Amino acid sequence: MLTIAVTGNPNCGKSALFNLLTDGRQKVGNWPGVTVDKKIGEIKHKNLKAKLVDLPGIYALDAWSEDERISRDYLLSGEPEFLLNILDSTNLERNLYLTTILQEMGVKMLVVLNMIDIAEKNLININLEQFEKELGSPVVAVSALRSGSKDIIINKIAELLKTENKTQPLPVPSEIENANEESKDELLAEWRYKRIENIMAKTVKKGIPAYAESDKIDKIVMNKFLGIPLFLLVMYLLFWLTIHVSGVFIDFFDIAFGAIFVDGVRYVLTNINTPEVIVSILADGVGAGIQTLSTFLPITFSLFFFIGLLESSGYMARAAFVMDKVMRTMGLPGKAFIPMLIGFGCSVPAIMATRNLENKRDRILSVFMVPFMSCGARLPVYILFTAAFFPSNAQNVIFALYVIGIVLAVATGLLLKGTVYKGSLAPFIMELPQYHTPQIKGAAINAMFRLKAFIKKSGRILIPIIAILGMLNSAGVLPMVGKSIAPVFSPIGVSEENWQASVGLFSGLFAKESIIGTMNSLYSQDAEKKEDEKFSLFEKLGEAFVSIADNVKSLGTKIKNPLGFESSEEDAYLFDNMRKAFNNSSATAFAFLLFVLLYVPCISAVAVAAREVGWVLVFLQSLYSTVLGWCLAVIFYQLVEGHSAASIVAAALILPATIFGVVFYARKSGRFG
Amino acid sequence: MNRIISLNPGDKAVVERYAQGMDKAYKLKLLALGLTKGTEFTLIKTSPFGDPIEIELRGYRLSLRRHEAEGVLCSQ
Ligand SMILES: Nc1nc2c(ncn2[C@@H]2O[C@H](COP(=O)(O)OP(=O)(O)OP(=O)(O)O)[C@@H](O)[C@H]2O)c(=O)[nH]1
Ligand SMILES: [Mg+2]
Repeated sequence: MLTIAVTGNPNCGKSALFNLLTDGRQKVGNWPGVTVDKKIGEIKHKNLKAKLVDLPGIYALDAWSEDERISRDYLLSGEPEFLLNILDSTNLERNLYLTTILQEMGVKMLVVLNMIDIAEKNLININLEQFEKELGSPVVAVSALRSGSKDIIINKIAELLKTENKTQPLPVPSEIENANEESKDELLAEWRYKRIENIMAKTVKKGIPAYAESDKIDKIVMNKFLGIPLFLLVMYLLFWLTIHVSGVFIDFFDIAFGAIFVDGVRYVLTNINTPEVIVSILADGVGAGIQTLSTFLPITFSLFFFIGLLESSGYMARAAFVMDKVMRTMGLPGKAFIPMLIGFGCSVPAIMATRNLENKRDRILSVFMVPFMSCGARLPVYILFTAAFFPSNAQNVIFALYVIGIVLAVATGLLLKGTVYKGSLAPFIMELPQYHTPQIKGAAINAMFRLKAFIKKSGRILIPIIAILGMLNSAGVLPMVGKSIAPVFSPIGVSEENWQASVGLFSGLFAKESIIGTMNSLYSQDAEKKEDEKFSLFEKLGEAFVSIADNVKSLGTKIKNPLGFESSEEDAYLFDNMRKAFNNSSATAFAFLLFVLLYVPCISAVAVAAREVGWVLVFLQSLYSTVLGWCLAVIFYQLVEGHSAASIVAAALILPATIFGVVFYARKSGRFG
Repeated sequence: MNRIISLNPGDKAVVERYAQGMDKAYKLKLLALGLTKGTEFTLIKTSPFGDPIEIELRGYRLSLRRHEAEGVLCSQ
């Protein structure tokens, strides 16, 4: 099959067009460096069947960072037989620079002027015919937001494939070829840009100042005094909206999934005379686990959705710009702030996003810091626990956990900067895009896609784990396991009898959201069964829909308990069990949450990080953050509640020893870049 | 000859040449981004913390750190 590569400057809309052409779901966002890997899709159109490869953006064929290297290597590999060179119509001059380089290579290509909708709005006038002639390559003008663009591009490619002629390689003048090393680069760039200026002058009429609106927004967003408070406000709003919008749907999922996976499964299995042990494992174990997780689907969706809106606005690049000075104190460029923000959604894409950083060591340091950002899978754990143990100030406790994570990330950055990375930092060069109207539809589609991936991942991990744990439980093995690891967890307040919590932590190694699914199913499996009510699926589902309407009506009054937990009997029952297991001690619960925040990031994050920076460093990171989590949890719990001096001393010794060990290894091994 | 460091927001300048011995990778990137000899640019603003700076050239915006861009010699 024909292989077509999509190439162009960062942030010109390559992935948006790729998605349009392949019905794909690649991530798009309004900052340079969204795509960091080669992504493959397929064009299945009646006029064209081809393999399409989306690439990270590049400005030229010299590569400075990992993502650019991937792009350059692929373009030069000879594999792509046809190039789709995407250009941002509102920023043609610089975008054409890469085009001139591609032309020098002499490959078959189509030049696509994207974002023509914005160019039109800004009254930029491009004489396409003339432009094509001056440039010497075929050109189409489209907008990724218009569905008609798909046919325009595909039909043009199909037409071009029928003709044999390649773009004639443009010869570089000999006086430049023969210039000395020092001035050759400059002369070459000047020569290319001269040619571009010439084309621009003949074919493009400038419109209204492109950044007029962005400047107005920046006046406020980047204001000396308002900038930082506004950033905090935006983040607060993001979480506030996440929690309140999703609050409306939580009961729906709780009731509906409970009806299907717990009551429904029990009803069907009992009717076909399944042994009670198996019914219990499937209905009260797996079913209850799925039910608990399902209540967090709205939160996960909302979190991805609102982060997506932020990403499509153009704010991320501004945040990087403003934070550069702050990040520099940790030896990182401002750009490293973007992975940290993405980390509030999920560590996996956040770790991937570090590819956009030029220095290897900046990437390593970022990979060390990202897991400290509380991700979307940890939020459900926080919410459930704070609802049970801190009903009156849940928000503040959750906020505190986020802040603790951030503080520890910064401390880690400073620690490594001060001990391991003393050298100079990578220079900071970043394009600042215009603000775009946030893409509601795009963000929703993307969030839905991410949610599906989340469900698949959780399901794949949670269902077998709970089933196996359920079996072990009914065989009476789990309490013994709990006892055997009690020495590790009793210093943070998780007692021998509360083996469900230790087992939950274990399942959290695979995915942190499964902690609550596991614990809930274990707590409820042990419970005495309620008398069987008459089961009616339809009645329950009806009830589920009514809950949405009820919650919308009571939106204003629910600010105190936005998630509406403890409204149902089951919740009250679960919370009761949780409180009993944690000895009614909110200090124990908080110590537990501290540990959840900090111990080994989930298995997916570990695997991705290992691919990016190697197993040794990831092992070190996991060890470091787990020990950190354990020691802080111990110190907190023992100071507030346990009062065991020995434990405090132990933690206070283990912590610096581990830090010293990590730093010592980092300096000796030279693995930290 | 001026340096980017001494420009104020709103000031326009033209790239004259690159200082000797500038980091090659950094220079290559600036060139690819269009900061070639004779290019006019405007200093738009500095970050709330004083650095980096935002400049406009060739119809788009770029941010750089002042001291890193020191090797770009320009005239007003
Ligand atoms: N108005 C408008 N916005 C667009 C168009 N194409 C892309 N965008 C937006 O521009 C931003 C960048 O799009 P992406 O597809 O992520 O750009 P990219 O070229 O893949 O960027 P990198 O992966 O960083 O190299 C996103 O916010 C898109 O929603 C378009 O034709 N019109
Ligand atoms: Mg992309």
